[in-house]
Order: sequence, then C-alpha cells, then structure tokens
Amino acid sequence: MSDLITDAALFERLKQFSFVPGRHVSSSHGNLKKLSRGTGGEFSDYRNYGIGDEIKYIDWNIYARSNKLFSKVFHEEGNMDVHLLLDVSKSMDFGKKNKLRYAKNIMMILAYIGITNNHNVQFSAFADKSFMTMPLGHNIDIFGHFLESLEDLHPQGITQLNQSILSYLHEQKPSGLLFIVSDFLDEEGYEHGLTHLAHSPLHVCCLQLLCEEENDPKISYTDNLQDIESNRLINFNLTRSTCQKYMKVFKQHIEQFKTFCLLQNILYLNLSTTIPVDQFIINLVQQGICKRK
Amino acid sequence: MNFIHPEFLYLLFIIPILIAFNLFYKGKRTLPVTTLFIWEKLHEERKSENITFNRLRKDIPFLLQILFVILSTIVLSQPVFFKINRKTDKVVFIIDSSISMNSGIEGNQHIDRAKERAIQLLLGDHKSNHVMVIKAASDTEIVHHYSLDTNQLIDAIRSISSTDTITSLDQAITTAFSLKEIPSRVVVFTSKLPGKTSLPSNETNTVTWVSMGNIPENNIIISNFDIRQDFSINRNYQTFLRITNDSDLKQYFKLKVFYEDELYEVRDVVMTPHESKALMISMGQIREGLVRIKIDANDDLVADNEVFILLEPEKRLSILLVTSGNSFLENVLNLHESVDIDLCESSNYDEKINTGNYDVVIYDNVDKEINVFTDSILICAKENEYTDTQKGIVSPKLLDFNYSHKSLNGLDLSNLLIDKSYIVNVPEWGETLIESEHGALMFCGERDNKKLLVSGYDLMQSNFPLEIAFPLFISRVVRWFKGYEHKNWITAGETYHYTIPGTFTRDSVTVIMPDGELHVNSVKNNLVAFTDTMKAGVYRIDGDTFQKRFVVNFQTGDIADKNVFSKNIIPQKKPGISETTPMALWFLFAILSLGALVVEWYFYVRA
Repeated sequence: MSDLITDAALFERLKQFSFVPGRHVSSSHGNLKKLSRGTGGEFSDYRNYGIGDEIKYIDWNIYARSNKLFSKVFHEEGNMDVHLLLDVSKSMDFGKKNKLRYAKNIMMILAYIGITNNHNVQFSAFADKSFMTMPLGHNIDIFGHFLESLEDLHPQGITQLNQSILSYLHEQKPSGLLFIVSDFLDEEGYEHGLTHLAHSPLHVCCLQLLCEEENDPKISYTDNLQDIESNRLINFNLTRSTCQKYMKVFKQHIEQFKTFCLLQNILYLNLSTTIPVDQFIINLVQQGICKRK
Repeated sequence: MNFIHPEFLYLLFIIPILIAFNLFYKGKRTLPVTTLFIWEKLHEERKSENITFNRLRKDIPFLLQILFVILSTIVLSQPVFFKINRKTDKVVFIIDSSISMNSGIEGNQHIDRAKERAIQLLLGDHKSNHVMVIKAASDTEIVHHYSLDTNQLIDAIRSISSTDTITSLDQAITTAFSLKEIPSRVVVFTSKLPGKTSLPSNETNTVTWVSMGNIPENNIIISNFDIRQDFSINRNYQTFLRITNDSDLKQYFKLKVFYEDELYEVRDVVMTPHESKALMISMGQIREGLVRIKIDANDDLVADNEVFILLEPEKRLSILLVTSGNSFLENVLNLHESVDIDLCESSNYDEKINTGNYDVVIYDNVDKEINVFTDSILICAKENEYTDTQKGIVSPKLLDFNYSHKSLNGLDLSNLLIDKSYIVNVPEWGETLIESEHGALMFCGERDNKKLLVSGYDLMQSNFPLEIAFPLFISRVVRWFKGYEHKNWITAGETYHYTIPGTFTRDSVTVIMPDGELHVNSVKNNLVAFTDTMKAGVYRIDGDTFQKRFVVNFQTGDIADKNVFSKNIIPQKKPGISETTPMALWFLFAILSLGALVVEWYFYVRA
C-alpha cells in the first residue's frame, strides 16, 4: 500500500494555496535578516527597528509622530527557497497510525504548494548525522520522481537533531523558508541546532509530529520499555499512575519546546497522526504560513 | 479438614507452572517506545519513593495469581470442617441402588445425590465413627466393612452404581442388625418411604431415613407386559403392555417396537394424568428373535421406558387330559398350537400314561387314587395327598390371590365365584395361588423337578371358565410347565441359568453385557449361572462353539411404588451421638478468590 495520498482532488485543492513570505521574520535586533527579496515586495507589517536593519525601510512618518523607529516588513514573492527537512530516524516509524507515513504526506503537500507557486523547493531527509538532499526546484515534472523517492524512504538510525541541522546549515547555507518535520524527541536536545537555524537567514517552521501512543500511552502488562532507536531497555511497569505522570512530564516537554520556538521566533506547529493529513493545510493557513491565492 | 472432591487438589500443580511462566516469560514483556528520556525522568522519581513497596506492588499480580489458584482449588475440592465427635459409634450406611434411584437427569440422579449426601454425612457427623457401607439392590451387598478411613469409605460409596432391580430395604436393614457388631445407627439413603419393618421397635428407632427426593414427577412407566400367541389359525404373537402415566400432566409420546433392532411399529399415545392404559401390539408372523419396546418419552426416569422380549421357537408340550368331559378346558388347551392333547377317561388313564410319553397329565375330577410321577394338574381330584375331601366348602369367601406368581400375574380374578370346593393342603414347597377364609383352594409348586398345580374346586363349579382371565391363566400355566421363565427372560437381579447343549469342554464362557463390557463366567457340568444381571438389556453368552442371548428386564412393580417420601426426613439426633453439620466453606473461598481477581484487576488496570 502506498504511503502517500495521491488524490487528484487534493492536488487540485492545493493549487489554491501559496506560502506567505517573510511573515515570521525574527524580531531579534541586530539580526541581518532579509526582510524582502527581489523587487515589488508587498508591504506586510511593521516591527521595531533593530541594529542592522536597512535605513531605507524605516518609516519616517511614524518616527515623526511617535519618536520611535519602525521598520517596514514586506512579503517575499516568487523564487523563494523552500527547504523541507524530514526526520527519518527510527523513532518516526512508530504508532498504529505511522508517523513517518504521515510526515511523508506533509512533505508531499508542502513540496507541491512550493512548486506550483514557482518557489525553489529542496527536500532533505536526515537521520543520525547525515542527510539526503533532493533539489526539486520549481519543476513540476520532477514531482513524480520526488514522490517515488519519498515512498522509498525507510526509517534508519537515531535522531541527532543538533548535528543534522548544523550539517545542513553548513553544507547548504540555506535561506528562505524552512519546514522541519520531526518528533523533536532527542535525548541530546534540540536547542543548539534550532538556535542556529533561528539566527540564519531562514524563516523556520517546526512541525512537531506525535502519535497517539506518545500523547496518551495505554496501560499494558509490561516490565520493560525499549527505545526503538537504540534498543536500550529500562525496567518499568506501566500503571495508571505512571501513565498519568508520563503524560504530565510529556506535556511539560512539549510546552518547553513550544516556548523555546516562540522565543526564537520559530513557528511551532503541533501535529498528531490522529488528525487527517489534509487538515494540516488549514493549520498552515491559520498560522499565516499559507494563504489562499 | 476434609475435601469432598480431593481430586481437584491436583490443580495446585498450576502454581509451579505460574512461577516458571513468571520467571522465564516475564523478561520478554517489553513495550517499545520512541524515546526513553522522559520515562527515565519518571524512573528517577519512582526510585526516590519506597523501593520495597514498589517491588512488592510489581509482584502483587503474580502473588494474586497464585492466591487465586489456591482459592479456586479449595473451592472446587469443597473442604468441610467439623468438630470432633465426642463418641465413636458403629454406623451403617445403606444406599438404595434400585431402579427408582435412577430418577433425574444424568449426573444428578437420586443415586448421585444419595452418594453425595452419604459422603457429606461421612465427613461431618460420622467422621469419627466406624462406618460400614451397604449397597441395597436385589441382593444386599456389603461394599465396605466398618472403617474409620474416610478416603476408603468415600471410594466405596463412589463405586456404588444404580441397577435396574428392585430393592428390599428391609432385607438390607435386617442384614445390618444381624452383624456381629450391631450398629448404633443405620442411615438409609433412598427415595422410598420407610415401610413396615419386621424389626423390633428399639431397632427401628435407630434407623434414619434420608430421602433423596420424590419419585419422578414426570414419569411414564411400562408397568406390566406380556407376550402370547393369539387364537387365530396362524397363532401369531401378541404383546400386551400396561402403561401408566405417573404424572400430573397430560402426556403425548410415541411407542416404538423394534424387532432385532429394526423399527417394526410406531404408535402415538396420549395419556391423561395418572391414567393406566393397556395396549396390544400384534407381532405378525414373528416367531423368534428379539423384540424391544420403547416409550419415546422425555421423562424423569428412562429406565422404566424399555422392555425386552426374546422369542424362541416354541417348545411343544404333550398333555394327557384325563376327564369325563370338560369342553372349556379342552377348547382352551386346543388354542395353543404348541400343545398336543390326548384325551382319556379316568377309568383307563393308567394304561394311557404307561403307553404314552406325556409332559403333563391333567386329572380333572378323577375319583381314583392318583400317584403323581410327572408334571401334573389336579383339578378337584379326590384321592390324593393334597386334596382334603373331608373339608368341602360351599360358596367359599375368597380372600387373596397370589398375583405375584407367574400364572396369575396381571390377571383380574376379583369376580371369581366358586360354588363348591375342597381345601387343599399346601406342602412346604408349594405356593398358594387362591386363598379362602377356610384355607387354600389352589396351589402350585415344584419338587424333584416335577411341577404340580392343585385346584380344590371343579372348574365347572365356578364361573372361572367364563372369565376373560381363564384362557390367559391356562396360557400362563402352559408356559410355566414349558419352563420358559427360566430360559431367556429374567428380571434384573435374578440369576440366569443356562445348560449348554452337547459336550462343552471349556471351563468358562464370555458374557457380553448390554453396555459391551465382557465378563468371564465359569461353567460347571455344562451349566452357566450368571449373577451380574443388575442392568436391563440384552446379554450374550459366547462360548466359541455356541452363542446364546437372554434379556433382562426391570421389575415393573418397584417403579409404581407410591410409598415414597413427600419431603426430606431430617435425621434425628440420638442421645450419645455428637452430630455436627459439615461446614461447607467453599462458598467463602469462592468469594475470596473473586476478591483476589478484583484486586488483581485493580492493580493491572486501575493502579
């Protein structure tokens, strides 16, 4: 059975959407971020002036009225680089409703929206310290080949978010919009890698994908828990109280990650495999990453 | 503490299996997770809690499983606790194993309940008593002598099975009191009411009757049956049945007749409550073979729904009728195809007897002196040792008829009137058939292999020849003389005798029981005497050189016996005997094991 939902109606619907460029550019002062690309950018918003912002974008009229410096923010249009990063570590191959299968569909949707809107799309899958890259450009003809490659992706290795992101930044020197789909459940943390992403000329969107078994583990007669990535065992008996405690700690972990993203001006989106994949587009629109044409 | 079903204690062997399962399989119960670091945080927190309690809590389900097995085992083995009796007595358990104890559904028949109740009393009231177990069937059998060993006694009680025989409980009780060590109490487990016993009153008081319940509420009974030839030229066989509906319900059922196990006839029968109905089934040209008649009714007692008849080629009987004229008797005898009759006057019968070879001689109103030297019937014969011609009675008042004898069984002589009769002297070996207020009027018996029937009255001086019972009576008498009764048709519990024809060199034969079980039976002087006829059905004797069938039927009178309990009779305490009710604790253990299950469920699901 194919992992991907290659439904013609879905693709027809996706054609109605496009990415909103530069909507979530960092407000960190001093970051030399490219607020708009090319010419003819569409005005989007104001933000506080920061060191490094170009003077030509300062709205002097507001300064005259309020004695405060504000920079104009513009949407980027056309030819934007869209980077799609997919975590294919073994931890993604989990859940009755498989996380990796779900993530592949998200990648497919994002890639299609990017290509149909003439963006320069690049797909990468990472596990361990390495990653596999597949430039798609804006050529719709290559999309079929991309889907086949996506189908052939198999879970492997362990999650090493920090090193994978740093490697990607180092090798690709990316700019534009970056979507990263992972469960972000890495023992070594995610902070280092994501901080570097936040400080790069990228608009980053973290899609944290979790399944029901992770969100709400059921009580079962068990003695050991085994990490499916490292095969490491710990002695543990699942009871109602331990499950409740786990859920509490797990929610705290999610909240911490969410707060971290907020502080780093990274867009955070929590996804569950229990929600239909096409519902994900609505979430993107609600978060302002996508818009209807 | 004792157990009613100690065999269930073997279930305790599940415990080592559980332990092994827990030890070896437990490590394999692993749940995969995507990451461990969150669980490890919890693990650290749990370590700071009470470790001992956590370990115990982890093992509680396993401990509960063991506890559940133990409690379930106790529940199934049904322990009973009791107090120690103050005094040791000798007690006899008499377990009725007659056909009426077959009532009820299989597994819960009266006999099963009787055995269960006996075991309960054995483990309770009579734990410290010396108990003897007696099986009361057609014979009284001591199954186990006085013993204190409850296990052996329980085995002995369990070994008792029901039979298709009748039971004389009096005989069993008498046996119990005839023992060298006289019991202080006799406990009778039966479905009958205590009848009149010939025991002294002080002994009767020590008999406790434990009822196993009523006779079946829903029971159809073949209460009597017979087979004879009709009066047609072909002399066809006819089967006569009396069926009784011994229930308060209107009954619809089928009566099936099988000939050599093939269905021969089916009849629909409808009977009103407590109706008794006679049925006649014509057997057509059947002359020999096995006839099985079965009531296809789903009633409480199936043992009385089936009878077996084995027809053999009829033996011929040569009869000399010495009479000056008795057309009734002559005509009735002529109706029997197998009977050859020769007539003569009383004046010259000596010569006739000497020249002919007669099986039976009938002396009808013979005045001359009679010397009985062959099977004979004496009817109002004057000169013989049995007829007291000095005691002539006019219109004697008839008191009793011996319907249990084969010649009168099933007949109705209530309308019999006798004008004049002599009293007959019944010898020790004789059995009175008709009794008047002045003495016996008819008897029969057998001595030195000679059968004799003596009637003190002239048939022509009574209305007997006009009664319907008369031809039947003569037919029965003819059969009695032929000796069929002891050939191939006996009632349960009787000994079957068979003389093997010709030369037989082996010292044993094999008897195949109705259920297929094989019995080896010894042979002495060509005579087979088989005693284990407790079950109704068809038996086969296999002697390699010959094969012989015989059938065993239940004794019909026992089933119709209404002398049964209307309610349980609770044994009364006798001074000096400490009686305790066994405390059936299995119910408590059942509750505890259920509790263990609930706690286990809580630990697994709710904890």
